[in-house]
Formats: sequence, structure tokens, C-alpha cells
Amino acid sequence: MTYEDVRRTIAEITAEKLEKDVANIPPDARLREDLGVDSLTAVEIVWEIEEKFGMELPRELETSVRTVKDLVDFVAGKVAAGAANAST
Amino acid sequence: MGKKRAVITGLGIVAPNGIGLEPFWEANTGGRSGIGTITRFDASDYDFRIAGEVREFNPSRYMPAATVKRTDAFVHYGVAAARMALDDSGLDLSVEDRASIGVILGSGLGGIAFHEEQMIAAYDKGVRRINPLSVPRVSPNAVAGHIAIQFGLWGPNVVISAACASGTLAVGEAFRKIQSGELEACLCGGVEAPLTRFTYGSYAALGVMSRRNDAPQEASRPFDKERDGFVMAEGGAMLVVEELGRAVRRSAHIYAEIAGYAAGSGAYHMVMPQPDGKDAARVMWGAIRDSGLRPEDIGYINAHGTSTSVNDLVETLAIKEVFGERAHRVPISSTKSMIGHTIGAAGAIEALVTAMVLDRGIIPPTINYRCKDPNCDLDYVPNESRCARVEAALSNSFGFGSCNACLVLTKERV
Repeated sequence: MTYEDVRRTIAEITAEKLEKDVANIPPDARLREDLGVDSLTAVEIVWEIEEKFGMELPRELETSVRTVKDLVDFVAGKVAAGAANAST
Repeated sequence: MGKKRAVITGLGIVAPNGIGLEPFWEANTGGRSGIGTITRFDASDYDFRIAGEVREFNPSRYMPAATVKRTDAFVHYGVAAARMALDDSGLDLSVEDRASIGVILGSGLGGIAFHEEQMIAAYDKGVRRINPLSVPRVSPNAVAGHIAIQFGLWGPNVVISAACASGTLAVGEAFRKIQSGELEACLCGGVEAPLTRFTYGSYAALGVMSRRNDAPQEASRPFDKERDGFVMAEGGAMLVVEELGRAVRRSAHIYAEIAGYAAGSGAYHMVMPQPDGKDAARVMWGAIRDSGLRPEDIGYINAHGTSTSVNDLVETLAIKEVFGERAHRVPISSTKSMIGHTIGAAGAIEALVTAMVLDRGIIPPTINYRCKDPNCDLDYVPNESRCARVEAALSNSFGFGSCNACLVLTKERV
């Protein structure tokens, strides 16, 4: 899975939960301030990411990431780590 | 100060044999069954494989697509029926006092489909896989909440769970709140979406459902000698009920007046009615007395009529107890003969049918009536609808848990 795959999937999940067009989810957008992600929507987004990527994310992620890119970087890092573990 | 009067000014319905008031009414007066082989889930390992499923229903026509994805079918049916009823009533919510309009529904089971799905996820994949929206999605009151949110209604927001009598209690309690002056108007009704593997199987295990898998449309045959159980079904109906004076002032079409209501318990058994029907008779009496009418004024009875051996017999006894010799001359029909048993929605759907009988002067039939049962010997309006000017009618609901409720509807009395 490429970084672009992760970015696109997360943008799609975020767009769906916010009822926005995926084009309106730019990487530099701040989840809370710019996109209006509230605490429940954040829980839903994280849950959906866990479901799609088959991974577990830390619960504090909902409050620790600021922008869409922060979230994508974190998940991409986990994906890369998982792939590295799988290949060793 | 005297009690205020409550009238029905809007109707909306999602049923197995019709979505929307006119298609549903046409199917009902035409005696068309909405029952078929189950497609909603794999029922191949059941002895019972038939149900009244709502077909060709698109919830996105009635609510935002994002809300559709986050809600269960019972919410879809409720919001859709509420939308239809509000449109039908002509109420302009932009000028109404929203705090004086309530939402009261009946539902026996709530979001049982999602509940089952999440139970499986919790056990198979672990508790982390429980969807964060499970609570607001499975709670029975989710449907009242979504209706209030979508239409901006600030009045009391309640879901009543009283098994097969839920919908009748919801309409009755709305009537009381208008009578007392607590509410100006109320969206009331009932919903159910019970067609899931576990729920269907649970009712099947009780041994109360029909086994006529090879003839689904003939399976629900209330009062017929060869009846062998009810057919489970899904759907919802909503009524706009409002205070008479305001309905007249805004020149609303009045389908019927809610004139009487009573609820009670047989205090007898969780799934069996009292064999002599005295508890059912007591509640029928109560509703008639509450309306200020006498049994001889009642020109139609919409029966609970489930198609189980016991219910139809006991209901017949109860009608005889209340109506005496005249019991043989009152037309009685069962809506469940065409759509099956929609549990918490049934009472609301049947209140809607009763209102339409008064409004349109047509009594829909009890279909699949072929073989006379010597113990059920009343006029069940067999197989063909009948034209009749009805001034007052009774709608019966008798539920598991020994909960009974009846409504008396009349033509608006000037």
C-alpha cells in the first residue's frame, strides 16, 4: 500500500463522515478548526480507519493529530511498520 | 375547563404492500398481500421462511444520505412516514410553536439488526470493533430523536415499548396530551424492523408463526379455521394528530377524530391472552366509554387479528362480550391478513386504516378467509372490501406481556 493509497482512503473516510466532497479535504486542513470534526466524528473516523486498515490506533490519536496530513502520516507510518514486520 | 378534542390531519405509511398513503390504501382495499419469501437474510435453515418485507423503499428520499448510513431500518421507516404525514397534513412548521408539537412512537424492538451485527463483531473480533455509534443506533428512542432533529420538534420525545400494542399506545398517549392541552399537535405512530436472523428465529422458536412457506400470500389468514400462526412483517405508520380548533382554523383535512382510548393489562401471562377474553373486553369497553359512545354506535372494528389460533378465538370472545348479540352485525377486518404482523408498528398502521375507513367509506377485507371456524363466527369482511358509511370505529391491539390498548375513532362530530 502506497502513501497515496493511505492518503486517499483517509480523505474518503473523512469526507464521508463529514458529508463533504473528497475534494474539500486538503492535506493541510485542520480537522477540528477547518473541517469541523467534533469529538464523536473523530471517534467514528478513527474507528473506520481501524476497520479499513485492520490496525489498532491509540485512543489519544483523536486529540493529538491536528491536520489531515498528520493523521495520514501517522497511519502510513503504522502501515510501513506493519509491512516491515511482516517481511522480516 | 373541558377536555380538548384531537383530530387526525395527516397520514404517512411504509408497509409491505404499499409505500405512501394512496398506494397502501389501494392495496388494502384491493385485498393485495405484501407477504413473500424472506430475502432480507438467509433463512434457508429455518422451518419458517416468509415475511412481510418492505420493498423498493429508498430512505434517501426522506432523509440525508449520511443519516441513512448511520441509522437502522426502523428509523428509516419512521422518518419517511413522518415526512409523508407532515406533508399530508399541510402543517407549516416554520410558523408553528415547535415546543407544542411532540413525537411519540411505539417500537417493540428498536435497532435490532445493528444490535445483532455489533454483538457478532464484539464476540468475533473483540470489543474494540464495536461501532462507536452503536448506542444511538440501536436505542429504541433513536427513531423519535431523528424525527425531532429532522423536523425541529421540541415537544416531548418518547418511544413506548409495549410489544404488539406499542403503536396504539403511542397514538393514545398523543391523544391524551392534546386533550389535556399539554400539546397542540403530535406526530405519533409506530415502527418496526424485526426481520433479522435472531429476532425472526426467536419468534419462530415460540411457535407462533405460520409455516405456509409454499404459499406466502395465503399464510396470514386471521379468523379462518386453518390459520396456523402469524407472519412477521416490518414497516411504520405516522399520524399527525392536532387539536380540533386549530385544525379547523387552518382548514386542514380531517380524516377522523380520536374520541376514545384505553390501555390495560390482563396481568395474566407473558405470551398468552386470558382465555375468556375478559381482559381484552375490559379495554375495548374502556375505550368506548372514554369516547362517550355505546357499543351500538360502533360501525367497524379493526381487529388485532393476528392469525394465531388463540388470539383470533379470544378476540372473537371479547367482541361478543362487549357487543352481545350485535357482535354478529359489526364488520370486523384484519389488516394483518395482507401485511402480516408488524409488532410495534401494527397498532399505528391499523389506526391509520381505521381513520381511512371513516374518511373514505370503504372497509378493507380480511383476505385468505376460506374455511369457517365454528368458534369464530362473526362478520370478518371476508376477501372483498365493502362500501359502508361508518360513523365510529374501534381499533384493537393485544400484545405480549399482557398489554392491551384500544382506540375509538369517529367522523369529526360538529
